[in-house]
Amino acid sequence: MKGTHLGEFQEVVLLVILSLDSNAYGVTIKQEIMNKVNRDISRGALHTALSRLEEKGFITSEQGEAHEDRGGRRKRYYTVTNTGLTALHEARSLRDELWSQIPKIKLYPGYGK
Amino acid sequence: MPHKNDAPPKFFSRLFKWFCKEEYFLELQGDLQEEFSENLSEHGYPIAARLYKKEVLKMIRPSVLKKVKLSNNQNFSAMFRINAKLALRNLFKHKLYTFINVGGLAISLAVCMLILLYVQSETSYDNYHPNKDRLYRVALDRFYPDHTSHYAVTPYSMAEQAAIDFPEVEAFCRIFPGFGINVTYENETFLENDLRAADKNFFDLFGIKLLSGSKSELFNVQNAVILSESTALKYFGQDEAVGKILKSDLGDLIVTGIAEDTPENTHFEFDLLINLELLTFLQANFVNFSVHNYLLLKEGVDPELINKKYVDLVEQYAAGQIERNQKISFEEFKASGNGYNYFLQPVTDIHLKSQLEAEFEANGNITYIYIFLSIAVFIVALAAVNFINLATARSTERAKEVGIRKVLGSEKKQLISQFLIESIFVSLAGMLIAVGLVFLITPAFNGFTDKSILLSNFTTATNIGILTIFSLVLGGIAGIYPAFVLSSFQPVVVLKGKMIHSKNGAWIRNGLVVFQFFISIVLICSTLIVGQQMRYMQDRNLGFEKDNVLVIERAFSVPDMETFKTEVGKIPGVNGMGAASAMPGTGNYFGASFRLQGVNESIALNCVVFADDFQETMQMDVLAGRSFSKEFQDTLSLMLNESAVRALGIQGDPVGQSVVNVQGGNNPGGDVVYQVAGVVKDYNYKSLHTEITPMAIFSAESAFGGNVGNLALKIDPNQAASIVESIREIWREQAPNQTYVYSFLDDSLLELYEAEKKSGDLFLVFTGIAIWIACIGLFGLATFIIGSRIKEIGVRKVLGATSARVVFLLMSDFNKLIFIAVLLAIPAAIWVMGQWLEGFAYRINMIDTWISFVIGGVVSLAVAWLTVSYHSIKAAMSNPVKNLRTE
Repeated sequence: MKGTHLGEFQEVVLLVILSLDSNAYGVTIKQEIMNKVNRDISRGALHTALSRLEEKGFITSEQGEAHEDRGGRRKRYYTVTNTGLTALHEARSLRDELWSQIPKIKLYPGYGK
Repeated sequence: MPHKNDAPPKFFSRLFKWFCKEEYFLELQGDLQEEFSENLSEHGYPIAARLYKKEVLKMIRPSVLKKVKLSNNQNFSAMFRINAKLALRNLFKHKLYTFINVGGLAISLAVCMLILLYVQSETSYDNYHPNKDRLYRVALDRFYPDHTSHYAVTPYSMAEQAAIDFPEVEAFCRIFPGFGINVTYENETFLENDLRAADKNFFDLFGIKLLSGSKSELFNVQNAVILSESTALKYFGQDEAVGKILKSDLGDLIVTGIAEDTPENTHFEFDLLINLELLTFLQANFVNFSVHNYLLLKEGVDPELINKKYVDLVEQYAAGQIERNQKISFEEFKASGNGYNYFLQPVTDIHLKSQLEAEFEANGNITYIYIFLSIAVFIVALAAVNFINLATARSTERAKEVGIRKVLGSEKKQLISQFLIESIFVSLAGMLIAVGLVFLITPAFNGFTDKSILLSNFTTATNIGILTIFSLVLGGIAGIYPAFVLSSFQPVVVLKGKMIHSKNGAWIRNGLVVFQFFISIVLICSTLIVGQQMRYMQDRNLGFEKDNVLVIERAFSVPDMETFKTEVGKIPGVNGMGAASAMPGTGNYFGASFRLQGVNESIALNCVVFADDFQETMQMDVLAGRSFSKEFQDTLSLMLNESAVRALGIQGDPVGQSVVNVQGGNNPGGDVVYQVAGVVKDYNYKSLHTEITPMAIFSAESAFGGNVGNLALKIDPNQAASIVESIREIWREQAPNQTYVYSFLDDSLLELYEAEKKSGDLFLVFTGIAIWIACIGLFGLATFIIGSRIKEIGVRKVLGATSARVVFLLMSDFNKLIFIAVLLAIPAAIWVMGQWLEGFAYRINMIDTWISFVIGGVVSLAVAWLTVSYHSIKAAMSNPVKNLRTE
């Protein structure tokens, strides 16, 4: 179980990488998380999540181009693997199922009156 | 951009490179740098650099950090475990040393932590107000021709006018310090002393939380009152308080809100807060000091600017009023040495840096904070010194162990790490015990210092981290010298059984002992001098008799004073009584302007009202003329103190002189002329911190007569308790709904020096601890020195030295050290205590403190002898054959 479990933050990271398409590297991922999810995370925290995801085989990475802004250092681009996609789908369907099991009256107090 | 090449902070870049795993470094550093350049163009260098540093620090996490490589040895963790085990065994084997080391360290760390807690609580005053950095109080240096007074209260319109005239001022608020009033709810009456009155925006400027009531409507009615939580609980219990009506001396008050109890770290507190508008006697005014004025400045305004602008404000608004009052031009007024210097005090500085007249409460003192902080540092330093001394002292015992280890192939590095681990163990254990001690002591400490420090506020992850790191560092620092000394032994030498005589180490050890005794002696002398000053203040002739005086406060509550006095006079043990508006030391004095008839210029005098028998009851000396008495009609009589006679410039016999009480423009009836009836010898009507200033005394028959609220009784001390109870009965009969408040004058006077007394007591405790720690160190050193001379002693005895002679010889070494410490300590103590004594207008002369130094020196010498005597006598009495045979 431990090997394939997808943490909440990791799920966010996966989704963000997908939404960034081919431009997903450290800085953009971090900014996207700040802008879309409104979470201010450190680059270090992101690194931990990314390396976990990579260990689990949910993402792969490759070296990209260097840039002067980066002191001439290369970017590392991340892409979601098929395993990663499957894990996302599983997480979502698990959640949908849980949602569907909750009586509507609990979710919307005042519903039906 | 201020920075040269706009590169990220160099140190942090390097730090990151140093700890980051190589395989990730390029990617992460690239990302950080990209973000940095983005932030740089968006927010500028300071913010970008700060964010960069934060990011680097947050990189310290297992997934990024390099694998730790502390040693080239593959078996590092095994080594560490063995070293740890050895350290523990060693510590348990020498229980006495471990106890001394760990115990000394624990106690000193505990003391250090308590001091830090205390300092933290003292420095946190008023740090919770929303705009504390921009909030100031207007204070005043008032220059008189012969002295200067510093006031916390200032004229009613001072802040208001500044808010109107100075564009830099955002808002103002006034707080009237208040007075005691009786408050009744459903037939229950309480005397409320913490009544304040404030402007409407009080809760906007000060961060005190409102628990119920609407902020915008609090002061909508003139007779609104906001209660503190505990006051509301006292009157209404669990019932809703808002909307209820309290009856009081000021009329009916409507409760419009409840505020949290004023946080302890505030320079004032209130139980009831009323609308300033209710106090109609407060009128637009630029010369009478009546309220605490607060200003909220706009962002980025320098308070100095406002200080400068206040000079003009005084010229513009106050000058006219002064001219009308004084009947001289403002220029002449200034030329004669008068002046007003208004200045802003940051609200956060008030508690520690402001000791003005008419503060809300006795403030703390920044000097004590510095003194305590240095004591904290010294005490930890003393314990660390012990640690070093004891560790080196034990080197003789451990020499063989080191020799064998080296022969078996130990590297120096490994030995050093072993000894360091040992010392870190000791300091960690000391820290743990210290934390336990702090938890045990805190309740008592709180009681003693009148604080309510909650330890739970301090058990944060950061603090625990700081303590751990601190004990690691302390262990490292204290262990590093012994570790190097021990690990540098030559195996051949030590295994031959030769004693180690490291001449180089001697001066370090001796220096450390001198240092310890230097600190101890400074503390002993300081404690003694504090004691001398306290005794001086208690024994000083204040100009009146302070013993056996019972004061009935709020005596104006009694409807018929004469009947009351007659009844009280019948109580056995009451030997006389007299009333006054203010008791010496504790009372409030009002100001009034006077001039000698025929002179234009007037001066302000502190004023008090005496009823007929007060001077006699208090046994004050009348130097000339007479005191007020029944035989005379005293409506227009006045008494002066000696200073006032001088200040008014009276030549010749003051009795019978006419003195004009200048009413100024406020009183259409004009000035009142008083005849001087007598001159009272200067008595200390305020605390001994301040000098005696000119004072005028009105009679109770004068226009000010209604003020005599304190009835002083001269009583027989043996019947004090029964007298207090008898008066309670009479009070209940004659003033049924009024609160009976009494005090003993000598107690009230002692309270003036409460801060000094407490610091003195704390000094005493710290001194005890410092001496104790120093003795432990000396004990250890004695073990070492005498241990290394044991053969010499043997030889001496064989050759015919007596035991006494040997003891004397051993002691004399230590005498030298103590002597040097005394020589160094005297100037240091004189300097420190000189600073402390500056705070008293009436103080002992430094030269009179010589006895403290003699006692300090003798005590430290005696303590040192006692400590050393155990070892030296044991060595001197021992059988020389035993010591010489071991070769």
